[in-house]
Amino acid sequence: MPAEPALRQPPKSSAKDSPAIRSHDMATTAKMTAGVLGVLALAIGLWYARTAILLAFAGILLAIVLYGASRALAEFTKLPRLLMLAAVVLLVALFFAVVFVAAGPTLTQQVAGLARGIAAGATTLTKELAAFADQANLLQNVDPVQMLSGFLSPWGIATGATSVALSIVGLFSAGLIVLFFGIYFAADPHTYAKLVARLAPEKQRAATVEMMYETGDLLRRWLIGQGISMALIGSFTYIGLLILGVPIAFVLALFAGLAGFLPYLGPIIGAIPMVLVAGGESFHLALMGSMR
Amino acid sequence: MPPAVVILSQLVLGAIFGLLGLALATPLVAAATVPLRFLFGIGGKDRASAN
Repeated sequence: MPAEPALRQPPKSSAKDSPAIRSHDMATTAKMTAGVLGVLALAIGLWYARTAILLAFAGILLAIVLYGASRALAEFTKLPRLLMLAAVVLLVALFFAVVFVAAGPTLTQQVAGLARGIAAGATTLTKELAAFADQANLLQNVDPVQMLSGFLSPWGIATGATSVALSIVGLFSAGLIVLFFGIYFAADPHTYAKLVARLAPEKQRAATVEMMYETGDLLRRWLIGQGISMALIGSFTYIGLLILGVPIAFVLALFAGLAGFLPYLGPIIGAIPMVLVAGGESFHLALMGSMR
Repeated sequence: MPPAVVILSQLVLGAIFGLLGLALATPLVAAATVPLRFLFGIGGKDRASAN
């Protein structure tokens, strides 16, 4: 390359390029380099902690719900807000405990029934497929498990028995982290808002606090909308399952409503236990259930 | 937020952060609009809700 040597030449030094100015320039350059490196190091650190940060954000969302509920209750009952926060958390925990204790036996029974049904159904299906395969070798190269994992892996869903067990443990601990974040934030949100505001320059602190409360208000309104949507999904699913006569309709509808928080995949995930439980009754019901 | 912005944010954050990013994409982007509005000097009023 002919241009290379010319580029490597140092720029023509002018008259004001005295040693003092040059050392000043070097100090500035060193400071800027250190700044850029610091920002990069921070970015790398944040990237490695991305799951924790997202879980903290989920905790803030939970805190907004808990705070709103406890404040509304405190205004209604004229009791201290912290007491009402404890009441809200305990009531929700009790609700879920009762629902799952009541539904647990039916759930395992139905899934076991389905497993037997699938074993019987799979035998007939394999026979029919074998007969079909004599005419066409179309299905030979299709591996449904591989296809599914290929579809799900971009979303970070691991497949395989070990990773399922791992992700269940991970899901449980993530849920606990979000729960505790939510409770602590909801107990005393103003302390955390002030703490974050201290990071801002003194002149900007009032505006920073105002900005955070405005963000909280926006998220609160979004969460109300999301709550309405999830409640509608749950209610309509419950009515549909009652009409079909699927057992433990309430738990299944509750799960479908909660899964409705997740876009795109939520409705599919919500339908899985429904199909499993309905499949314990009959395959016809499972098909109907999957069409809800 | 306009629906196309919601879908785009879900796809992008889902691609970067996986399932958790997909789940939290809408509230994250909605929350990010407030500081951005402050930064560009149109803060204080929620202009999007006026339509």
